[in-house]
Parts: sequence; C-alpha cells; structure tokens
Amino acid sequence: MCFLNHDSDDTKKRAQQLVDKDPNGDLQEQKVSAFSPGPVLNDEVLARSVEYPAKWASPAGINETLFQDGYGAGASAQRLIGGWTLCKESVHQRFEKRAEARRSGSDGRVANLDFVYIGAVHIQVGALRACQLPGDEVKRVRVYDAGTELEDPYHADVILNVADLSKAQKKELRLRLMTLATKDGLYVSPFLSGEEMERAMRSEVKINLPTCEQAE
Amino acid sequence: MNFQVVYGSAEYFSRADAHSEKSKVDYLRPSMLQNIASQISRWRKDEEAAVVAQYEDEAQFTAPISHPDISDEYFGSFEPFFQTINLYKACLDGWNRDGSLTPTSEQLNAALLGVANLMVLTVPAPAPMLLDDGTIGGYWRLGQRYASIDFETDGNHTWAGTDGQHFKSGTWSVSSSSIPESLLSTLKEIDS
Repeated sequence: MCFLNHDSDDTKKRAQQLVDKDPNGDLQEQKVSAFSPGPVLNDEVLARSVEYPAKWASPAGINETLFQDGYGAGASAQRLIGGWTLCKESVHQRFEKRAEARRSGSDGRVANLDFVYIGAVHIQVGALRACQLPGDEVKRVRVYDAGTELEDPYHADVILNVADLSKAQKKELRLRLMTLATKDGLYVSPFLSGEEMERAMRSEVKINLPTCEQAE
Repeated sequence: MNFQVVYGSAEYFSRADAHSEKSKVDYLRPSMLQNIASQISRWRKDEEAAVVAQYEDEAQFTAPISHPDISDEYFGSFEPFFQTINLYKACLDGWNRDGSLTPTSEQLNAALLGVANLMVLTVPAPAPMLLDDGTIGGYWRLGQRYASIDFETDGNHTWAGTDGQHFKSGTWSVSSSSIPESLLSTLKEIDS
C-alpha cells in the first residue's frame, strides 16, 4: 500500500496522516510508481487550478483558500515537466475536465453547477518548500510525487504540516503560499466564456491570456 | 470634541459584555444588508442624540460627529457580499470536496456581526470567501496587496495581510478590543 493512501479508519485528515507517517518529509524523495517521472525536484514548477466559487471572486480575484486543501486532503497540482508551453494544453484540459465533473457531480461529489475553472497559477517547488513562518524552524510545506495513476503521472500533492500552529499562523501560511503562487499571475483558462473572460480581466490579479503567453 | 464608538448595543453589534448574546434578528429575511444599514443609521443617530443631550446645558453646544455620514452607495457596495453569503446557506456538505461543511447559522451570524462592525469603520466591502469548515471570510485585494478576515463564531476573528513582500497576521477580538491598527492600516492601504 502506497504511503500516500488515506486510511479511512483513521479520523485524522490525510495531510496529518502523511505527516505522522513521514515526520521529516523524507518520503518526498520517493518515486511512487513506474510511470511517474520520479520525486518532485526543487527546480520544477507546478500548476494549481483556480476555480470559482471556492478560490475566486470577482473582482478581487484569487483568495488564500488556494492552499487550504494542503492541511486536509492535500492540494493537488500538476508538474510542468518540459515547461508550460509544452504542458499548457493538457493541463488546461485536465483542470477543465475536473471542473466539468464537479458541475455534473460525476466525480461522486455533490454537483456544483456554478463551478468554473478560471485558470492556473504556477509555483516553483523550491520556493514552496522553503516557505516558512517567521521564527519557525519547522519545514511546513511538503511536495510529494503523487503520480500513482497511469492517466495522471504528473500529479503532485502539496501537504502542509500545521497541527501545532495557531489559527492566525495557519492563515498566514496560507497567505504566504497564495502570494507565492500569484506572483506570475493567472494563466487564464481557454475554456472561459466571453463574459467570464471579461470578469477575469477586470480582476485584481495579473492576467496571462491564453493567446498572449510568452514562450518559455 | 471627538467620539468614537465602534461597538454599540444595536442588534448587529457585539457588546463588550455579551458578544455571544443570542440575536433576535431573523437572518433568513431577504434583506440582511438593509437591516444592518438601518440599524447602523439608527444607532449612529442615537449616539448623536445622546451626545447632543449631554451638552444641552452647555450653551447648546452641539458635538460634531467624528465620522461622516455613511452613504447609501457605501452600503450598496456590500450587496454582492451579502448575496453570496446568502447563497452559502444553500450549499450542501461536500460543496468543495469531501468534508467541506455548509456554514451553520452561528457561522453566518459571526460573518454578519463581523461585517457590520467593519461597516461602522467604513472599511471597503470585502469579497466573500468560504472555508472548508464552514467559516465565512472576507478578503480585499489590490494587485499584490491583500488582506482577509475569517469570521469566527467565538468573535476572535483571524486575519492576515500582505503588501506582497511583508506579512502580518493576528486576531481581532470583537468583544474586547477595537479593530487592530495593523489590520485597519492594511485595509486602508488597499483602499487607497
């Protein structure tokens, strides 16, 4: 059984279970399947999906719930192996497909008709892992290879070790991570309708339009 | 003279001695915003009247009010926030992922109370935010400047802010203190 699996008999959230199993974060070095490219390296870049209504409101844009999954089930991301130019089509498609499943409820969860994939943000893995609170020696952010499925080999999970932090510290950590992730702005989904695109354009977040992105 | 009362005894405002007192307001009525707006206006009028009365014997001295009138436009700017938190009530558990909880009436009330207190300070309207545990929050963004508050049911609201480089965080205890200066200055910077 892979260390990433959630033990449903344990009442702890998956992130906490992982931290318990891997107190020092050593398992970040582990390749989790034959089809995964291997452990997630610090010089890699991840893409994380931004969706309305959970992580986005107009016109303010992205909020810091972007990483709240990190201390629950884990914050899923896609590894941009080979760079954004190479991966963007498949990443946008994957995120849109997931949004579609959320809208219809075909992913087994409660259907959310309003669910919209707005775009992706990019985060450098080394910066994520180095993100710390002032005066805190503990490494709070882990990035695991989570490519356990053949059809999703570039999956990574961001896990936050926050059990001993106060609510204010947890919130600041979320804010620091969101700030890191929004530095390059939002890589807008090509699947947005004209109206949704306009809303994204009017937001307080730097926007990278699908047609104007610079080659890496 | 100046006077400033942040926490009045009107329905939506927490009193220092009874912030957890049960509200008599029916929050399910359609116009929560209007309700709060009229209570703020009434409350401010009462405060003004009280100050005037206090100085009636002193050569009809009328005390100036330290904060300007709050316009209908200002209250109107909160409409999207109220509309959205109304929709939150219709969420089902699992709205975001397994384990995501629908806000309870206590969590909804905490958000209304927190926002009403922000309105008295004429803080700009926040964008709404819903956490997985059902806590309602509000956030403000101007480019990389960002601030947010989680409206906690115990009245100890967690907040954090950044200018994109430096970070601040803390707790705003509605029942015992006025809004932290560092939070207020962060919000004013975003509004500038």
